[in-house]
Amino acid sequence: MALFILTAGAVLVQDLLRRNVVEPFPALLMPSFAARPSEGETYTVTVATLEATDGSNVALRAPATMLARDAGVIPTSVLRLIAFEELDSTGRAGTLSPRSAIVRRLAGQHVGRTRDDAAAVVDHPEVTRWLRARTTETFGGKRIRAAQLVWHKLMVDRNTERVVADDIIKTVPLFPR
Amino acid sequence: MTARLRLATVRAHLETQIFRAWAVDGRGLALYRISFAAVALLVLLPSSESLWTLEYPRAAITPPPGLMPLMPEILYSPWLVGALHALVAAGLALVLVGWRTRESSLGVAAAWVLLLGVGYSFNKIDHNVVVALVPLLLASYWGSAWSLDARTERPPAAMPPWLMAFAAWILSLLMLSAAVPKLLSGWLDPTTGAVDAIMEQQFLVHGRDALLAGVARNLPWNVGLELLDWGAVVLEGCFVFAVVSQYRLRFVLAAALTFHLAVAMSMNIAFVGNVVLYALFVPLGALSARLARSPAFLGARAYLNRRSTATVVCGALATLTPCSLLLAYSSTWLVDTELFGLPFSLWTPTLVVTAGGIVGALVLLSRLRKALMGLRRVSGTLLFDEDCAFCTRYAAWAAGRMRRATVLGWQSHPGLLEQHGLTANDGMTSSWWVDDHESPIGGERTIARSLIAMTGIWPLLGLALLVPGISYASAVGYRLIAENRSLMPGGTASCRVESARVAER
Repeated sequence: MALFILTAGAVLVQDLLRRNVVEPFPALLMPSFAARPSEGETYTVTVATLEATDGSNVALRAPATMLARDAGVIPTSVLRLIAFEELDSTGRAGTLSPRSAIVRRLAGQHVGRTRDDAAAVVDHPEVTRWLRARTTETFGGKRIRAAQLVWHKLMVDRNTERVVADDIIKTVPLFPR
Repeated sequence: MTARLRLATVRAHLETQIFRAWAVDGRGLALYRISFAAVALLVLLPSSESLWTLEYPRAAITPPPGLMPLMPEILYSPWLVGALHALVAAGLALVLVGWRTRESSLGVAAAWVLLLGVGYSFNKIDHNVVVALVPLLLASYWGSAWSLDARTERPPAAMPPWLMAFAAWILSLLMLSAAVPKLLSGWLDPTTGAVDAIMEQQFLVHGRDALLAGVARNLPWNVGLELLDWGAVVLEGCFVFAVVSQYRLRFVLAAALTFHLAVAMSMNIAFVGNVVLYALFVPLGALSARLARSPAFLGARAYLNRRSTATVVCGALATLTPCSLLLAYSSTWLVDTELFGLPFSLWTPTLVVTAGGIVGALVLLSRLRKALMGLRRVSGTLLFDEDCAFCTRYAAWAAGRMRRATVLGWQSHPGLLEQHGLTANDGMTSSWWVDDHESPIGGERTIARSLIAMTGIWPLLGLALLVPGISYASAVGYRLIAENRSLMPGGTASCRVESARVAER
């Protein structure tokens, strides 16, 4: 019986940690999702695009998720590097797929939430090298002069799946900085 | 004193449930071991491997609090991640054939947890760690039958019932950990969207538009979605109450399996880990006994018995391990390959969830059928007011459809109402259902009971009338009809009942 009570206590502590700090590992927890205010016929998302300029000053644009290449998923810590997504209120770490319907439809945008203290991470030399290499690959090996991530807040019509409002909410230069 | 006695009774009941009720059949557990290893090798491991982490800069490593900060950075090196993955696959192959099951299981659990920890360190949280801990929980017991270990002179011991109850307790806590944040974040608030928002997120943002996703999000079900929000929280919260009874837990599991099937179809999310956990509580003993008599099983067993232990072990390692690794690597290569719009990585998980969902739905239907049969076995009598033409008409219609029940007009049977503690006024204001076991049932519940006693689809309607919510509406409906029965089809002036008398009821 003591084992049963101890386990319940451990799960309670882990859940409190998840909700207030970060989910520990290993933890006896299941995923949970937060509710959000109903919007009726529209649905609001925040997406990021990778926008670059090549050697001839031609503007290039692609989904930020293209940086994930073949991995198929972008874990949250990487999003912090490239899209600065934070954990949601339940501590759930999101993953994004480059297969996103909106990403395909808008040709160059993906979901993310803004994070103000991301600059230090982007300044990490290893990350800068990685971003340069991935950006070059994303745009077919073209020589990239400058690249930036641009966040858009999009309102999507649920019925037509079309974007009815698009507000740029943040721009972060990746390189040169 | 009474409180102490009650506490002692509750404690005795719990101890009976924990230490005796969860008896485990050795062959059933063996069947679970084999199924677990097969699903883990071919579905879980390929989808939860951490090979994708090799794509990202090491700067992205942010170990969560707990085990991973204690690990050296070399753990994240490509060769070690690959080696861990191969180790888990090889260990699962050994668990499947039951060779040194205890050591193999412990090895699988340790290596798998570390492998998942690598992914968690990149903040990709899959919540599959509990599945990786199953071999740890069952290591000493699940190799007692249908294993190479069973050939030895000292086969593993049978699993103690309390361990099974402990596993059920862990499962209930897991589900509670999903329910509580939902509850706190406003899932039950009608002004928020939860299932609705996830469905949109999956469809619009993650591109999960396969199977029935498009159909589901276009259904005109605003109220239905709010009910689903409630349903999800209630279902997850139910586990912790159902855990004291195997019968109840299995009912909740069946409902959860059906729910996961609906989620897989409408949102393309396959909770395959849950299905694997639930399977532990399925009574596999009867199935394994039937399986043990099948010609295919007997043939396979005879074939394996003719082979030495070393041959079987080498064979398992040489076939199952490469299969699992191939599936894992191909999921990286074939990431954009789709079948019916479903990405490659979701094919096998969806298949497992679908199989589980079908089993769950069948169990629910079987329970419903049993409940109906049980209800229909109860004989009873429908008492009606013969002076009312509308009531007489319903009684005649019901009599032609009921098998065990009888229909009697109370005026033709003097003393019948009094025999059941009713008065003539009661008889005029309502129909009554009487039997030898319960107090007389009146009003809308009489109609529900009479429908349940009928043949065909009518019992379903009768049960529906007893569902909370619907029953309130049917009570209002019955009262309206009772007060205005002279206006109903077949009704005459003799049907009229004064409102005051109806209200007296």
